[in-house]
Amino acid sequence: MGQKSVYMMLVVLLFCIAASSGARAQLVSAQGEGLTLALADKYVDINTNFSGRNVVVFGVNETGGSLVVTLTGPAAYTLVRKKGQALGIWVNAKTYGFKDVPLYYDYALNGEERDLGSVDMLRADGVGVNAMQYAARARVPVAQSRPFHEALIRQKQQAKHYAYDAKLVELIGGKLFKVNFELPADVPTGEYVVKAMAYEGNVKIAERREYLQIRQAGFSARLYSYANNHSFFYGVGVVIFAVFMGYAANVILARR
Amino acid sequence: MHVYLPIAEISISVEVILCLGLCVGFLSGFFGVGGGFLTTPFLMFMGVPPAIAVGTQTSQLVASSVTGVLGHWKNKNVDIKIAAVMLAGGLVGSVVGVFIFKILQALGQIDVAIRILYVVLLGSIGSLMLFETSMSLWGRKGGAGDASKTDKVSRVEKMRAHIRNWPYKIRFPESKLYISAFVPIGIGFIGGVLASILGIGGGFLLVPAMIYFMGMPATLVAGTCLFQIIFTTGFASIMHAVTNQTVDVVLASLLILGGVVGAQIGVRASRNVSGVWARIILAAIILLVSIVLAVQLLMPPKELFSVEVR
Repeated sequence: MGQKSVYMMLVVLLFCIAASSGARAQLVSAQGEGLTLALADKYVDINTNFSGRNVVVFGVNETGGSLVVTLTGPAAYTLVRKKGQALGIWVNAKTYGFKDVPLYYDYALNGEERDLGSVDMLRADGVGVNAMQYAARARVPVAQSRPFHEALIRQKQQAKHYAYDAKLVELIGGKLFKVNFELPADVPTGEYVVKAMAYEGNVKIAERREYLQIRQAGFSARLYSYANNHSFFYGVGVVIFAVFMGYAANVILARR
Repeated sequence: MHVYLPIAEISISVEVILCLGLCVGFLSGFFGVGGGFLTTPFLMFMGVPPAIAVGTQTSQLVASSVTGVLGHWKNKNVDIKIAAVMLAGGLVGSVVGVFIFKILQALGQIDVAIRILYVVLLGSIGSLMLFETSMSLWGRKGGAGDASKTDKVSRVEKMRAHIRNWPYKIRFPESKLYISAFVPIGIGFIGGVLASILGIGGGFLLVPAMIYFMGMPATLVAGTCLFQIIFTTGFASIMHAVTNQTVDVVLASLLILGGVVGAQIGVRASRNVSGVWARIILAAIILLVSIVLAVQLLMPPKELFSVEVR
């Protein structure tokens, strides 16, 4: 219920922004002329019972251009290994490292992707899974690293960490828009970027960014930070806990 | 119902993990083995990273060994002196094991290495057990051993005597043994390495080794071995927590919880089955796991590529 009322407030707020041009001048940056973006929540808290969540993005598009909204997770150095046979056993034979691979990627469009501009344009702006160009760490010919690059995207898609297709940007009334990103239960933690871009023809005419923190919270977060910052005491704690559990089990067994 | 594992950072089905714990607990209650050899491969199959499967499993073994050892303790079936000497080797073995684990991880071969080790270990132990128990089934029906058999026995006996007479002999009054300290230290060392790399207590390997190489009285072997495993796995668990941050306490609690209940059922079920048949069933399960893992290694995988975030 709380979330719903927040959405309503946002909708009202954004309508007000859309209605008053004076307010708009103050809110939008030079780059984001005519484009406003807001997140229903700035944080996604992962508790022990976390099983995925929806992230709702609201915005006002007064540019009249086509809209693209992307959600990009934190980047990490990622290894892709290929198995090969050695003495009849399938072992990891070849490895390529890719720099700055987003751990998560999802996007939404209100038009057809091809209407938005040339493929190169979209690549430069990081729109769509095909736009992902990672630099291989070792200097290798693209022809060699290409299968690894494709496998990386394929596996991220299978893990539901990359989108297969674009979502649709929902238009509410004329200028107000809404996108609903569905985060899976094993969504990577970190800082996410939500980017809204408006295109007219092949030209990007406006861009806005917002940041979203996805983090462990509560009991789960405390365990994680303790395990990382006080790893020795954490380890000892787990062992003491295990000894206690084992002892308790024996006491229960012996009684019967 | 799903629960989010804070260290593994994945969401996993509570029912499946409790079931796994139940099965492993059943095995430990029924056969008196730790059952770690089932947990690690199964967790990896579930999508838990190998490092977390192994690291977490070591802490689960602490709980199951404590449960197991208390009965032996009450009956005074624990030789603390031998356990302590074995532990000296076990602790060094744990450190070496965690170190090897880290190297294999850096090389990107940890999952392959774990599988190969399992296939070799489980395959050989399973076949030996199956062979030995089926021989004892037939042996009971047949007559006394022939000449060649006694000849073989005496040669094995000589080999054992030779090993026990290595330097640094220590007296173990509880077990009425006077043997070289290197024997228990060496056996403990292997146990420690296995605990760190594979997340198993290694009882199925240590118990026969303690009987054959050290000549320990059978009544003391199980309790002493379990007592020693508590410390080796506990130490391995802390080592994994410190060096790799791969011990997930939520996953461990679920495994322990399932294991506790499973062990009760296992102990009860074992009363209705004779020892020889229990050993044959156990050998069959061990062989089955090794065959499944071997097939995974030898068959062309569906997906040639794997992704690892650093």
